[in-house]
Amino acid sequence: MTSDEIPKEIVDSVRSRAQLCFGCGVCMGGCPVARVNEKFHPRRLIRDLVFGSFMEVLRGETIWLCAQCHICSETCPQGVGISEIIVDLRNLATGIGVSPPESYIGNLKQLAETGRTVPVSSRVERLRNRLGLDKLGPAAAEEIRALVRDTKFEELIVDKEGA
Amino acid sequence: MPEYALFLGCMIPLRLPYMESSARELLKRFDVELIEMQDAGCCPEPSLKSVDDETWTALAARNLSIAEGMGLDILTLCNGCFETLKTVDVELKGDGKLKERVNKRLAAVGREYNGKTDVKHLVEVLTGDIGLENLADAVEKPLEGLRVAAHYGCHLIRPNSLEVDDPLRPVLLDRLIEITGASSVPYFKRNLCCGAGVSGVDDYTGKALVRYKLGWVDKAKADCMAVVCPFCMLQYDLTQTLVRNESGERFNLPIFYYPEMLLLAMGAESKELAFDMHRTKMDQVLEKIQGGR
Repeated sequence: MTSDEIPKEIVDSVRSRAQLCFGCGVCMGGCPVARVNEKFHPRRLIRDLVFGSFMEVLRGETIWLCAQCHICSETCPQGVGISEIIVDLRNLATGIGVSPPESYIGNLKQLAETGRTVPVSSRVERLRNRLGLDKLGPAAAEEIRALVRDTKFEELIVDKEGA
Repeated sequence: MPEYALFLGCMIPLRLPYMESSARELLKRFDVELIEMQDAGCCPEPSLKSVDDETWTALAARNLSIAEGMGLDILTLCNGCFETLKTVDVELKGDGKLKERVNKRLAAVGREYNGKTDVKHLVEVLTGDIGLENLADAVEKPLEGLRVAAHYGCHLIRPNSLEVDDPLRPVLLDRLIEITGASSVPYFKRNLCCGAGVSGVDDYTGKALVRYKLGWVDKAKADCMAVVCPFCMLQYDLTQTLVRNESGERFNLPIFYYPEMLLLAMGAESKELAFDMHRTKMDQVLEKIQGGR
């Protein structure tokens, strides 16, 4: 998906899940991020999905601030899967060309390069050696690269490298 | 005793290898056989599900298929790996169409997912396979008087489809702490996320969450915290030192990886356990435990 358009049935299906919310704010009370960062407000996010601009939510930075602790989903009396809705929104956002946070791109690059998200450093090799741990075997990066070919994972790395 | 395919992931072997060595040592003492997983890659990281759900699912299914080929269930040491591998496994087992699409992708690299392997976290192997009674029987030098704040980490218990423990009022880690002879102290905001999942996106939020949690642990007069996940470990151990330097806060809370605590209670000497690799000083709490032993 490269255009700005999200098919109406997808918007409707996300909205119908959000519409279960009756605004009690339990999600807000339990949310760790909301407690320390006023930019993030799960109840407002759900309200904006129903009554506000869907595209604005997708293009906003707040969907990326959720830590995915799932407290909101576990405590919501209406069973609104808030943290799951946020993951779906992020997928829709990357689908219309919104770039995820820089740290995600770093992880994607590392994943395509080595098959893991943390590089092997000489420091850690020394630590492993001292602890009597074996050298880490390769992670079959070429297989992982083949699986991410022509996907959003690859597109994001290529875009970044070309930029 | 059981045999498992050990899924190491990235954070533990490549940033916090002392967690790997103490987990291996502990499991060896209870005759749990660990078989290395050739070619296993990143789980992948739970956050990458947000970028492209189905590619993330396929990469996780590849890891699951490796264990299937070994004819073994997976044992993970990391909450992140656990959440990824277990939720993907549960999802694929319940959604035939998704499984078909994922297998189409996997066929390109000669792999296939058939749903024949289960995924377990270290906490489940300790409390389930080995069992609390057997663990307690192995304790020779109880950590009496030690006050421990249990931190489960989110992705051991949530979403509830992981089915490890109560997602809001978990008990397993408290029990594991108690069998060492230490006491698990109640504190406010026990379920508070460590913030690792957001620290890369917003540094302030990641640090503020560490500060907030440590403030409550401090009020509970805990001697230390026990964690079972490398992300939580990095947040409370390493980020704690950054928070302290930046804010001038007086936090100085030692953070144990749970297997280290149990090994000490089983009589291991602290010098066998690489506590110098922790960023927050462990000397004082070790002194309290061992009284110089």
